[in-house]
Amino acid sequence: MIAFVLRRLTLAVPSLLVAAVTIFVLMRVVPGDPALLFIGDLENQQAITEMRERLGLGKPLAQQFLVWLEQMARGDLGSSIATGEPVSRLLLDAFPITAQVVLIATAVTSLLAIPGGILAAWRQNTKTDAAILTGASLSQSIPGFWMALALILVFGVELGWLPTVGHVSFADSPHGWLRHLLLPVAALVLTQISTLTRMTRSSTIEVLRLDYITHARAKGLTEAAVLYRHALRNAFAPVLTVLGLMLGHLLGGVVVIETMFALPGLGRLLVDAIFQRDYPVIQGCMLFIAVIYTVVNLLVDLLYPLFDPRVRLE
Amino acid sequence: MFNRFNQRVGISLTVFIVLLAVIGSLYTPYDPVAQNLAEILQPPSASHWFGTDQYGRDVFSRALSSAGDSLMISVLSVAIATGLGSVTGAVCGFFGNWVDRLVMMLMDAYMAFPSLLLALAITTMIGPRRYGVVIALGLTYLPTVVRVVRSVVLSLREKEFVEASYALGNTSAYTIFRHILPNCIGPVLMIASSLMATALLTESALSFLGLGIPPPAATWGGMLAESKLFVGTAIWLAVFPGLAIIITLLGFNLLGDALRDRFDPRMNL
Repeated sequence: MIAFVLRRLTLAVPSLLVAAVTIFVLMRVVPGDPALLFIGDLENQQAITEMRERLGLGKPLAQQFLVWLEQMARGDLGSSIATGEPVSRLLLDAFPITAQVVLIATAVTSLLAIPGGILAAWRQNTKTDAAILTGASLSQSIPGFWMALALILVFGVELGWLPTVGHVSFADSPHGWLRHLLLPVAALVLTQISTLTRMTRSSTIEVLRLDYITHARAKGLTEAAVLYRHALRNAFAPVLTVLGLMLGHLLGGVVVIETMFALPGLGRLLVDAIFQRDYPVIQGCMLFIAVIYTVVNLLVDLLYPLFDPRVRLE
Repeated sequence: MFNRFNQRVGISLTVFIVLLAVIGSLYTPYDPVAQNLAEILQPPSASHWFGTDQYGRDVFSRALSSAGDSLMISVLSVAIATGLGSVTGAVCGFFGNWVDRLVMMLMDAYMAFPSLLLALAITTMIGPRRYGVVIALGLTYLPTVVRVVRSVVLSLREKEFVEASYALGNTSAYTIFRHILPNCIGPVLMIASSLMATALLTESALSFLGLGIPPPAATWGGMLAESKLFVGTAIWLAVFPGLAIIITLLGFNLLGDALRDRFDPRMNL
């Protein structure tokens, strides 16, 4: 087990390295003097000179990369051009909000999609199945931002039930926290639910054909026990993969939702930074998200054998 | 039964949207970018089917004219991804040497970014240009195609026809292009059609964030972004571009499902 974890960790390192190289190259491809981009103030010649020094711009590119990588690894992500605050501070402030939205959305999606998919598989080729599949196709075809607009219009503007912008921390007011998260989470759930439902359905259909299911039924188990104790256990591994991928997708998709609902999360931070050409923040956000995405995928891989003992830890 | 119905709906919707895109690039009832301040924020009527926006521009003309752009961006970016991806995937899968391992490591690392963010980063660096979006999306979807094609080729290369091709004295390059790649068409078509939907969705999200095709050119996502300000007063501004995106995506998705049923009946997705 420990050997597997170590091996999997060493596999994650090159992928993070390539991500770092990509971000580094992207930041250097931008036309213009990188030092100027990172300072953003034409007049402040001294700061630009210092930044040139800090970025090691006189040195060969490979050496520049190493200098940069060392700074990043130490958590020294520079300061925002717009506000002067350290980027690491901004990231740590924004991340919990994104994490809340994404984790709650994932949990709600699983609670709806997995039983939905099992139901569709159990009632394969019936009206129930067709209804669930049609719903999934529809939800897959609705862009998140349009769903968000519709939710804002109905629940925020027309009915006036829920606030449509901003965020309230749980510590300040649990009630306000819930009210502010309901719409963003609903928008994410409604647009993410289809993939998980379809995956659960197809994976369960495969399993329901197997002999041991017939055997479980023959020995007189209730259908619920057959489905949840026997079929789901076997069908869950591919579902888990999709769940991991979905978490990653959500980290991206949440950009749009955060912009719509003015939630001060990572995505909002990134988009605002892009508009203000705040390169240190853009770079920090990209790097941070790449790390989180890799960690999530790593966790999924490590969890896999727990749900499917046939997958050996190799 | 249900599948056949879905297939028909998918094909009809796709054909319908492609027709609209062709019409929209040749003719629109009004100039899609001409402002008419005498007729701002008009609700849908006989003269303006989808109403007008805050500059008095005809929403129907704008929606129609952006169909071509949206489809073109999806088609071109998917063409880049499938073109480059198929060849890379085929070569990697066929030889399976250190090049394969290196490329796959790169592709895995690429996948360490959520695709929207990768597209976002690339467009930020290239700047908001029409072809910037195409390149960004094309590069973003490259790893998906490479992975799929590679896995197909891994099993294809063990088939007898590869051996037969070598026995006839053909080179590896000839075998890959003449025998391996044509056998990948099914899976490639399948992935291309689902990527078309993803590309369209991402393009509209980029435009929605203001990072797609630059204004005043109309895009569905851009129109939706502008409609945000009028969500309580001029609902038609949000409804029609949104419906356009939904219909197109539904068409592509159902078509993709149909192709998957056709080429990979085992996958009951």
